[in-house]
Amino acid sequence: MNDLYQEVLIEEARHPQNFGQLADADTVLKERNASCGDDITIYLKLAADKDSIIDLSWEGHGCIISQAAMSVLSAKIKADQLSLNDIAKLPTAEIEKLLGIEEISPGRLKCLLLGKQALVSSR
Amino acid sequence: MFDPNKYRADFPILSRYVNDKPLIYLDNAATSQKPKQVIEALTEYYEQHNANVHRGVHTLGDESTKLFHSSRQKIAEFFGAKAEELVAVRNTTEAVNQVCYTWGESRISAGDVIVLTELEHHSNLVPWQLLAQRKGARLEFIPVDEQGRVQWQRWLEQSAVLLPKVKLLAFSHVSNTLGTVIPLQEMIAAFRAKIKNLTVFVDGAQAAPHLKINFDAWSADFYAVSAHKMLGPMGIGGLLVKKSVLETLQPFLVGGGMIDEVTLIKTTFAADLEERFTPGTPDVAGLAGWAAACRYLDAIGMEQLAEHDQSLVAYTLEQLQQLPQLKIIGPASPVSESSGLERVGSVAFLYAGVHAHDLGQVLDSEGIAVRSGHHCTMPLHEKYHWTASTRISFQLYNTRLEIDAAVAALHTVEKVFGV
Repeated sequence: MNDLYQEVLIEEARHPQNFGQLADADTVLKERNASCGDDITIYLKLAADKDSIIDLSWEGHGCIISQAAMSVLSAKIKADQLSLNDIAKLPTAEIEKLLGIEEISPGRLKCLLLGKQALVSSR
Repeated sequence: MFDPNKYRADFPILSRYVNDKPLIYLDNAATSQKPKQVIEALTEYYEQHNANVHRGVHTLGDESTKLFHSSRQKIAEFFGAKAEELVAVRNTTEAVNQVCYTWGESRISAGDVIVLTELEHHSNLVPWQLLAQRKGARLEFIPVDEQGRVQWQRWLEQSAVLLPKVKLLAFSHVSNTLGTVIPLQEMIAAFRAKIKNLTVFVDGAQAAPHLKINFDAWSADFYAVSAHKMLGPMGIGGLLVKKSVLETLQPFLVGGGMIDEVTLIKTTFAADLEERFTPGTPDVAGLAGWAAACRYLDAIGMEQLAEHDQSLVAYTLEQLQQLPQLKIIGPASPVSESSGLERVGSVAFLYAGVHAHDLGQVLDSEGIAVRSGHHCTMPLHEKYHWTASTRISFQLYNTRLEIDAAVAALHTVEKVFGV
């Protein structure tokens, strides 16, 4: 019916990884999609260099794309021990790949990148 | 009875396919599609008459100048206004800014009150916020209840202490999000009865495509419209200003065309209102296209089109109310016994458990275009904790069959998202 909405994607958004507040967070980042009101709040525990991430969690409201993208991104950050700098350099295609999306439409690009934007806007 | 099928062939885009399905265009409040009569007016201008106006003494220049004037005349007439009362702008946002920077700069001062409603489009909010900040003035908002009704009578009763300071009332004739219609004449009369020297600005962007506008018969000082929402081209719109008000205003943009005498030291501006408020080269093709749209609508008749819109609104409300997951936002009926017309042009709703963007995407896969988001009314969405809503909006070419297709697609949403 719709190529975009693979079952795994819907599952990812319904049961997001690393969701919730982080008790010992030292940095809280927020981003909002001005065109629909979707929001993502990211809780970080950063190393002394203010770049390496020791721990991360997030909360948010929004569409399947914005929530699933943040979920898989948070898992990748933890698995690959990405720093804020690494995240800033992460190409859009990489996030598309994580979600199994071939190419996001222009109308949904902001949804896809909402989480990344929250992490990058702090720099 | 109006039959939309008689007119669909005039709109070339309606024969295209989207995602292998015939296009069903239900995002008309964002912008309407254009009939070939409008598209041809644009191309004919550039193929036959293109030349600058009021400048050269040659045939094309004369043709272009004539077309400029006759188009302005037609557009003004369509809205029940005089040609000299029409200030051409690019869009409604520009119209509001123009009022802020001409009328607002000279008439608003510290302590003054500007009254808006809670359902304003950002374009009729943000410019006033900045004006109020510059001047030390205050914004007051008429509340909107959960049925989308603007509580203006109650506000008037409860705000007696404020009234002596109120200088301006600015509101949307029809809400772009909720479809709420303001009883314009009744509301302005009630405000004028209690507030001396009140100036009234009306954002008519969503009303003009569906209702007959009688600017000179109504007691609004300003009325803003956009061509592209009423079958005309993008990039052209109008700020209608009562002649008596326009005569007192300084030009917004200054420079080419609109002068009387220029020396290296100083300038006097043209006394002719049309010249004074036409800075630089005008968009003649845009005006010609807009005039063609007005002729097209006139040929059918706005009264008849308003009836068609009301029947689509009523039918859509009826169909959507059968989906238990949906919550309609705004007036639940197109008319009410107490206040007459209540909802025009659109129906917006929330779908429990499914985000408006995801809903819009599913409909798109069926070739159906709707609007998802907060429709440039963030404060309204915040007030009622709506994250984002979906809006179906109409034009004369929409049919009940198209509404049925949209409702059928909404039935599949459950399956796609497992809610």
